[in-house]
Amino acid sequence: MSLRDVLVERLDGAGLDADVAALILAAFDARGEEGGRHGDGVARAYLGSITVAGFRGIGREATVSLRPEPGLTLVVGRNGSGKSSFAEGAEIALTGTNARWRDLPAVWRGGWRNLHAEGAPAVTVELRFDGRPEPVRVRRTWPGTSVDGSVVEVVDGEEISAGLDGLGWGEDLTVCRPFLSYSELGKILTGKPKDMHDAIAGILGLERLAATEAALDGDRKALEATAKESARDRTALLADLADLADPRAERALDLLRARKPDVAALAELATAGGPTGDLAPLRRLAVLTPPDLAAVAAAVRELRAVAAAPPPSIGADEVRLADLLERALAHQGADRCPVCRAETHLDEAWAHETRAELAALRARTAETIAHRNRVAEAVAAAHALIAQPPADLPPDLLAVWKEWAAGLSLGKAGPLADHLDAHAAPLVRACVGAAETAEAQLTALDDRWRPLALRLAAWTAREHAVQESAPLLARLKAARAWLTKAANTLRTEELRPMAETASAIWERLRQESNVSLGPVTLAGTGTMKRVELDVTVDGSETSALGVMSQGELHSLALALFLPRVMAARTPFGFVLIDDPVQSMDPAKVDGLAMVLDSVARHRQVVVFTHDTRLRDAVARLRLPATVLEVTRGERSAVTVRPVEDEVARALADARAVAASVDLPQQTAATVVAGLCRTALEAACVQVVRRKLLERGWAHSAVDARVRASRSLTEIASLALFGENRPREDFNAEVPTEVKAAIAFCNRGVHGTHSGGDLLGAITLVARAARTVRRDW
Amino acid sequence: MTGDLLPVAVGLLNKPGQTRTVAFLLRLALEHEVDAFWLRAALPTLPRAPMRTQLLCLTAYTAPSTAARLHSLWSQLSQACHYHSYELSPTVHELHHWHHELLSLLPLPLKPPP
Repeated sequence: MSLRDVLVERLDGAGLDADVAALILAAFDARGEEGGRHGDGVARAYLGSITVAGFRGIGREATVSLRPEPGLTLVVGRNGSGKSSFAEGAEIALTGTNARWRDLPAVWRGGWRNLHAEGAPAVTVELRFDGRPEPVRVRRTWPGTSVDGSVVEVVDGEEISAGLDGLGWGEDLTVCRPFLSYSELGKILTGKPKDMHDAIAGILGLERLAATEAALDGDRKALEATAKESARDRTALLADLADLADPRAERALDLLRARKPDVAALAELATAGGPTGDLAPLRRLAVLTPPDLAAVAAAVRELRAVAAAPPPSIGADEVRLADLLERALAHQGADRCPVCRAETHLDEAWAHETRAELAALRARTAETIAHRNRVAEAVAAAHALIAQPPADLPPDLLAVWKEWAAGLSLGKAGPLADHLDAHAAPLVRACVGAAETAEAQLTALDDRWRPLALRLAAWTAREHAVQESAPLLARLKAARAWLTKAANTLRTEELRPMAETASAIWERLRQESNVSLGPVTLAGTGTMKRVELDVTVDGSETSALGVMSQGELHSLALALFLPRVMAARTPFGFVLIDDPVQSMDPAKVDGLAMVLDSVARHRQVVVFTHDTRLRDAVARLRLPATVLEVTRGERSAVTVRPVEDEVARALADARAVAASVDLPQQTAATVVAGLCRTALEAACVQVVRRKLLERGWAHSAVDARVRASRSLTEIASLALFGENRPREDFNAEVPTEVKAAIAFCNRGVHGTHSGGDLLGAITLVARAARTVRRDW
Repeated sequence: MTGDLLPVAVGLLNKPGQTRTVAFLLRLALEHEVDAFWLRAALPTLPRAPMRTQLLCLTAYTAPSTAARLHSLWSQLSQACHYHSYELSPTVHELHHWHHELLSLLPLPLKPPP
């Protein structure tokens, strides 16, 4: 199941919002291709040989030949014999670097060339990949003088390619690095907590999950930073706006104080600048129109003129007389006065006289009416100059204005003229003053408002973006929170088997130590990442790392390192361990031997050591192992020879039994035959393995085939032909010596040995084993 | 005979300065057990053979894994018994470990003849 499938499955079960789940998957998919995680189809590499020339302690070319298969190999040799040069050579050939040198000062790194070598330094590592018969050679050479200036090529059959990319190991070289030296063991626990965390988390193959987590968190941080900035600006704006006695500021404050400010309203407020609310009166005041003093003066002049003119007076009786005379004219010619009945002839002269009188009366009437109209007009004109006070006047101005407006109640020209004269100028002065004040106030307000309005406009734009992205931020937070939890759970789950392996290994390594190792967990985030080791001393929890001895620390480091070698994803079938025994208690060495043996069931374990204790322990515990000895002669001539393996050890044991004079014949024969069978079988299995691997079998398939064999003859036949053949073929082709040896083993084990020369039989078996291994 | 030696060894287990004595007693108890085993196996002359030979022979007469563990235990006890100038005395924890290992291996099972 790919990591993505796991993620999808967990997302489905999490009940998250669809949006949030989509966000997580999108971020995950953006983090590149699926990396190999469970080691499905990994063709593991095994070491066939390490050849070193002119490098470190090795002068002319020397080779360590290894069997490219799971199993334990001890490379022993005195200090300075050159064995570490093989270990470091292999590491530097395959990784380009070396843990021991990496941190050393330059002066140390200078001495990497062997002084006794003639050609350029070169390290060649022969690799055999599971299921591929042809070996692949990695050859690293140093044409220059710098240790960093090396050239590496991969020779795969006819194909030669520069660089290590052809091996397809990529980051596995870092994550599952199959090299461990004494100095590195010391660093595992004492290094930076984060490095150890990353080293362990790396093996789990969950980097992509961590990268997704980091990406989501990065997005969240960016959005949160913008939101935070916006909130900070809002606080500053609130403070600055509060200082403003401006109705616009008050409105802005109201809007800003809302939990989610109305950005549209704020934007309008910031950009419009039109009169709003309480600012209108001030603006009206600023454009206030005072009475026109010239008009007032004219009105006053007119009023004074009409007041000064003698009022034309015509009495009411005169008006009535005029009417009477008008009507009396109709009576002209009458002999009697119709009014007084006097016998006066109303003749022409009377009529003439009367008409003249009538005309005079009429003229005076018209004069009077005209005067009255002129007065009324003058008053009306004066009144027209007086307006009622407009709304929202400041009180002092209002008082002056009211005085002025009182003139409206004056109907007489004279007093009205006096009133206008008295109040017009003060009102105009008051008005102009008020308008100037208002104008100044407005200017002042605008001066303070304008920058704030600009800020407000800018802020509104940003706040708009923040509000727009608020749902995304919420989703990011939810996504990240979920993913962190899920990733931690997954990490713990994936780590558990590894942690259990580490605990189990520690159980065997600790021996008499009172320090026990509980669950190993990954904790913390970011730079606070660390590995939590549940270490207890005599059952009580403590920061036990401080109280552990150097040897115990190394053992614990080994317990934590070996699971990395055993990880399913690793493409390395081998592990090179340089001097793990140093500073270990003798008793722990036995535990180490057993641990190495259990690792060696699945991996090719090559241990370089100058200490005889590991070799002793392996022999004592009768663990299958091959021992190679490295010796260094004059001029750095290094030789490697096999000193012991299962075959040799079983034969030595057999000789010890055969040499015991006190044994009953039957017992000695049975035991010797059994040990000889072990030796011969081991020799045959080595050959079977070599042949089948060369045909492209996988190690697991070879193991299964060997286990399925029912008899020594069957294994021997398999060794001879490399495949199943009828027994007759085997009998026809097998050398008589080997046939006799097999017969001895079978007879003895089944209790049918008839006595005779046991030591001679052992010699026979030894020769047969040599033939099998050398010739088959 | 083991019945006599083991309690003595256990009695000394927690006494300081007696660790090598305890290792010696444990090894002796183991060797007595192997002797008794050969008697049960009707091979009375075997105890005269060197201990290494006896332990190798055990493979043919008892469970191979038991034989291997016994061999390892005997080797470790032997190493602890010797006063190597460069090696320190075994610790109490080690002695307890060996004691438990010995108890868990006893009695040695007799493999049925093939």
